Amino acid sequence: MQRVAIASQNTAKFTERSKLSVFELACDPCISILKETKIPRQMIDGVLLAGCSTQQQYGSNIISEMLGLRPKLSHRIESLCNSGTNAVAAGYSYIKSGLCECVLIVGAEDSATPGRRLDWDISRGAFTSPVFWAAMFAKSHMRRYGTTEEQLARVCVNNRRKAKKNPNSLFSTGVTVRDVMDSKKVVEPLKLLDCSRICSGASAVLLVSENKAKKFAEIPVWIKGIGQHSIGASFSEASKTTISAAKTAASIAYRRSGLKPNDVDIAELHDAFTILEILAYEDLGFVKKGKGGEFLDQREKSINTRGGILGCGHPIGATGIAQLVEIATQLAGQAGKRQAKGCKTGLVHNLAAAGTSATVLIVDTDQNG
Amino acid sequence: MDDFFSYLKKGKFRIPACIQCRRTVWPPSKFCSLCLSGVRSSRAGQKGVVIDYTCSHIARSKVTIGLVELHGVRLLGSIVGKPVKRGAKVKLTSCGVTPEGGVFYNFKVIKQTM
Repeated sequence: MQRVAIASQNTAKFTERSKLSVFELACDPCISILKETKIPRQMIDGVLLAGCSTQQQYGSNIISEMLGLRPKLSHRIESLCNSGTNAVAAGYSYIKSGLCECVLIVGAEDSATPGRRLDWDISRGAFTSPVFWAAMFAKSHMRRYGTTEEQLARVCVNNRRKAKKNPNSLFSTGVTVRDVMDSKKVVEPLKLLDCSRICSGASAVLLVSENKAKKFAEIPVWIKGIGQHSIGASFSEASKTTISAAKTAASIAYRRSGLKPNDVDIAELHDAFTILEILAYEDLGFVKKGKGGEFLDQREKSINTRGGILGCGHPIGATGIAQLVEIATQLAGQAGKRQAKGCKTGLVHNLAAAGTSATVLIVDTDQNG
Repeated sequence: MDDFFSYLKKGKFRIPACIQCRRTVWPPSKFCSLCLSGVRSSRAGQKGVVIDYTCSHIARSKVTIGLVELHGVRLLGSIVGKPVKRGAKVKLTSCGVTPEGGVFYNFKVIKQTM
C-alpha cells in the first residue's frame, strides 16, 4: 500500500493577537508552501482547516478560494487543542483511501478563540480554566513520585531557551528556574510560567501520496503511524498520574509504525503546562512511570526543539500542525540554528481537554537528518 | 438534563440516574449513555470525599479547591473548614447556576467524630 509523505511545511510567526482575519492568518503559511513546492496548484485536491474559532464557518472553502485552489474534499476539523493532529489524521486517511492525492492542511487560530474553555464539562464547576485540572495532575504526581516544583520549572526553562532560536515563536527571551519559581502563583503548584499562553497563529503542511512525493518532494518525510484515543469530554482523571488517552494513542502509533519508544530521536510534546511534558515522557514510554522528572537530564532524544507550546505560544488549532512542521523540518535537515543531529524518526504528542483526547504521530525519513 | 439543571438553578444538587439500568448519568443528559434509556434526577445525600485538593490564587483571595467525589460523580469545588486532606469527608453546602450560566459547587469539611 502507498505511503503518505509531508512534501512541504511552514509555520507563520505566532503573535499575542492579530488584526488579521482567521482566513488571512490561515493563508500566510499556505502561501509560503504554494510558492515553495513543485506541486502545481491544480494538483491539490484536499484542503482541511483546523481551528476552534466560531468565525471559521465554511473556512476551508473560503481559504481555498483565496488561494486559487479547487479541492475535491474540503472541510473544517475541530477537536479543541488537538484539532491540528486530527486534521492530519483525516488528510492521511483521504490519501491512503485514494480519495485525494495532495492535501493541504492548515491550522489557524485567533487568540480570542472560544477554544479556551469547554462549557459542556460542568464537573469543573466554577473552575473552568484548564489550569485547574493541570494543577491537580501536578499535585498528584508530586505527591506520588516526589516530582518537584523545580523540575516543573526546568521544563519551562528548557523550552523558553529553545524558543530563542525559533523566529516564529511568541517568546524570544529565556527564563531561569528562579524566574519560574518567583512567578505569580496561579493554582498551586503551578505558577504563571508553568502555563502556556493562548495566542494567534497559523501553521500548514502539504501531505501527498507516495507517487507524488517521489516526483515532486525533495526530501519527503513519511507518516509511519497514527494513534488516537479519547475517553469522553469531562474531566475525570485528575487524581491519577497518567493521561490514559495519551498512553493508548502512543501504543497504537507504535504498533502501526512497527517502532518502539527507543526508536524515537526527536519529539514535540504537548507542554501546555509544565507537568504535561513530564507526564508525556512517561506516557510515551521514554522513561518508567514516575521517573519523568529525572528524564529532564537525558541527552539521547531531542525534545521540543521549536520551544514547545510554552516557548511558542498556543494558537489552539494550529498547535498540532506546528508540532508536525517542526519535526518534518528537523528530519529534512532544514532546521538551521535549531538543527538536531542524527534524527531519523520523530514523534508528535498532542492533547485536548484535560487529556480526554490524545493524538500521537510517528514520522521518519529515508535518510539521516 | 433540563431536570438536573432546573434543580441546580434552585440551589439543589440532584443525581441524574438512568430509569432502566439505575446507573448515575454524568454529565447530566436526557438519556443514559450506557443503555440509552431515559434519565431522572433524584435526591441523594450531599456528602462526599476529598480525592485531592490545592489552593487557587486566581480570585482576589486564596481559595482551597478540591476534587470531591459523591455518588460516583467527581466535581471541582471550593472547600472551607479544616482539616482539608485527601479522604476528608465534606458536605455540599451550596451550589447553583450564576447569571452568566456558569455552575458552582461549595463544600465544607464535616467534623469527624472521635
